[in-house]
Amino acid sequence: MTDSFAKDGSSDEFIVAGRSTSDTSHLTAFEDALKDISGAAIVARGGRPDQPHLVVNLTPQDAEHLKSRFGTALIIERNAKLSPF
Amino acid sequence: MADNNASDNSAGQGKGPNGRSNAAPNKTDAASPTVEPTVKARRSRFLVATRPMPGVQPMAADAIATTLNNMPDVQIIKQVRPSGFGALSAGGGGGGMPEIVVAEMDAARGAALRASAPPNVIVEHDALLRHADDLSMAFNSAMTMTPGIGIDVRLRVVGTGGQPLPRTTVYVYGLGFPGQGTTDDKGEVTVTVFGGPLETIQAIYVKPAANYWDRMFERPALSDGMNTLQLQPFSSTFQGFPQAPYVGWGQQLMKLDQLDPSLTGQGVKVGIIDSGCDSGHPQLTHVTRGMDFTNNKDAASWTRDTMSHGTHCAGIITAATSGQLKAVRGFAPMAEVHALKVFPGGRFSDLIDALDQCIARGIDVVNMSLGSSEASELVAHKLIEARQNGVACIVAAGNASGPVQFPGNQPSVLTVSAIGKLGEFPDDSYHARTVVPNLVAGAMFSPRFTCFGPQVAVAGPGVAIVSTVPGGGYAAWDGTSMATPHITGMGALLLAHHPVFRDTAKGRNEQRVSQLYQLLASAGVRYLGDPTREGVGVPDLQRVAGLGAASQSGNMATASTAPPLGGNMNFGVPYQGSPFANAYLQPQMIHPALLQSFLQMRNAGLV
Repeated sequence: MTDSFAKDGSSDEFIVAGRSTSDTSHLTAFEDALKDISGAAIVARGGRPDQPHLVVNLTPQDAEHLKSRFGTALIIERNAKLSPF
Repeated sequence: MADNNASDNSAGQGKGPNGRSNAAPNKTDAASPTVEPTVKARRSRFLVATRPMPGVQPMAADAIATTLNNMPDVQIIKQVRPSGFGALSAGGGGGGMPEIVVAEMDAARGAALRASAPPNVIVEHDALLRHADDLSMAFNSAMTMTPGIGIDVRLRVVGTGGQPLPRTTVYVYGLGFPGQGTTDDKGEVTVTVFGGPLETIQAIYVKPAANYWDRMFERPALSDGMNTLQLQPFSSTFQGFPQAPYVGWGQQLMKLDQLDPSLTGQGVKVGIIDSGCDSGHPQLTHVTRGMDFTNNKDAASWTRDTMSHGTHCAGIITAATSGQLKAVRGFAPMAEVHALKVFPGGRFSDLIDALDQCIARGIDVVNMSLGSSEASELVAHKLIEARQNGVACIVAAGNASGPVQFPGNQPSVLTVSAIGKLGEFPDDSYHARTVVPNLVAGAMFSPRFTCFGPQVAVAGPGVAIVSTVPGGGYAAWDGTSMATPHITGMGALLLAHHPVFRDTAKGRNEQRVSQLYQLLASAGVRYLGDPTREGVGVPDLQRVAGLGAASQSGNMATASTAPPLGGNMNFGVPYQGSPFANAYLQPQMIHPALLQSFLQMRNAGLV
């Protein structure tokens, strides 16, 4: 069982990481872009130093917008909840 | 109630390594006390009347009443003479309204009566009427519910000796949402349900905290006062439990009880990504390593397992004999276990962190009894990385009764479905509800919950699995979550003791993981005949040459053939646009079952 998508414009958790581990410049640019989005926030910074990722709060609409902008360089996907089976 | 033929399969089954019976309590066992529930099944009310048919003599109401009166298990409540049923009276022959007999009987008797009634007799359920408002529930974006009148159901849960069972979870199913509560120290709880009177309660499910079988009470006959529900202890099924040695049916199926006891998994590192592990359990005190990803990677709080799930999985993998406690035998009691806590609240990011820890700690095999209905590219990449670093990820297929869920559907992992065995649980337990008659093959069955598909590599025992729970007790649970640690445990044994890994133990790489998966798959015994539900079957330790298993014993199932792995095949599937853009899927990275299906399709000219 997973949590449901936020469909009412409320924010959701997303995980963001570079498609290329050697280049973190896009992640930095993503952080800069995040500052211009109202309500967006970094929840956590994770991953190994050579494979950093961000966990961010975004509305699904903002996430789609950022995917269209950074999608070729970054993986931006919902940080969905896991379930024990 | 599912048809599990439990009593038909008792002969010769359930014999533990010491010859003791550990059969389910419904089997003939003089030592097992019979449990008589205070709450009994509610009887149903039926309407019986003549059906006017052109050219057929209507059956007289008196004849109907006499027939019913002659049935000892049927009680006539009343006879009513409707003032007018036009459709029924037309052609009635007698000129008057047909008389209706209202009678109470067991639901099964009513169904049989209806099935055997002649065409000129109507037998139908005298269903409770509901308000028109209740007839439809709007499940739009917002659900509307008619509050109705809350009915308090007072319940007391006791053991066979009448002792109260605190911390027992009780679910009451009526016409609306189920009500739920937990018993207090007196074993008592009041559950409020909405939607109708006590007669509308469909079932009560009682899930004990530990050491008892769960129980389903269908159509319970409830009173306004205190209703007592009685449960059976494991000790009534498994003699001497938990002090006497006991090997679960799953471990027996995989022949763990016939393995050289000196093979304990020593030297192998096992990761369990789950809800933590209560290392205070007497059989799990040797679990001393872990990390809590729900609490800032705390190095101590992984021992607080509020869900019990991780502790249950840990018992299957590594439970060790401790003094008087020998209740559960884990596969690898001397393995070095790392409890990596991601529940409750775990997300993909926690799983990535946990897998990173597995790589960093040099974990050999990791149990992942978890998943999601969504997929994650980042987790998929991390699983590949783990495999390339020699971490074998054993993953549950899922309990959604549908296609294998993520990450069990990834080619980099070994995916485990669940299999059950008849006669290993009481008929009135929830375990019996996992049986689907058309998925039964001999004594084995594919439980209704297990996910299925070509990604299923092997099956593991996953119904009525008795293992450790926090607080020092034991519980019998179902799920692919329970099936998976059986395979993880066996994997740990193979890595620790099989000759093929003796020289490669230090070579932590993808090849070693592939060899482990091949070895597990080659030991598969098929029971169901459906590879999408059992892969290559349940691995059997006796089928692994060179592991020191004791003498062979007969097995009615046929041995499966290991899928041809490692051939010179170029699948040419790059991970485009990813950190693994230059990586190609190698045959060793494909699920054995998936590879087998692919080869079959290719041989048939379909691909």
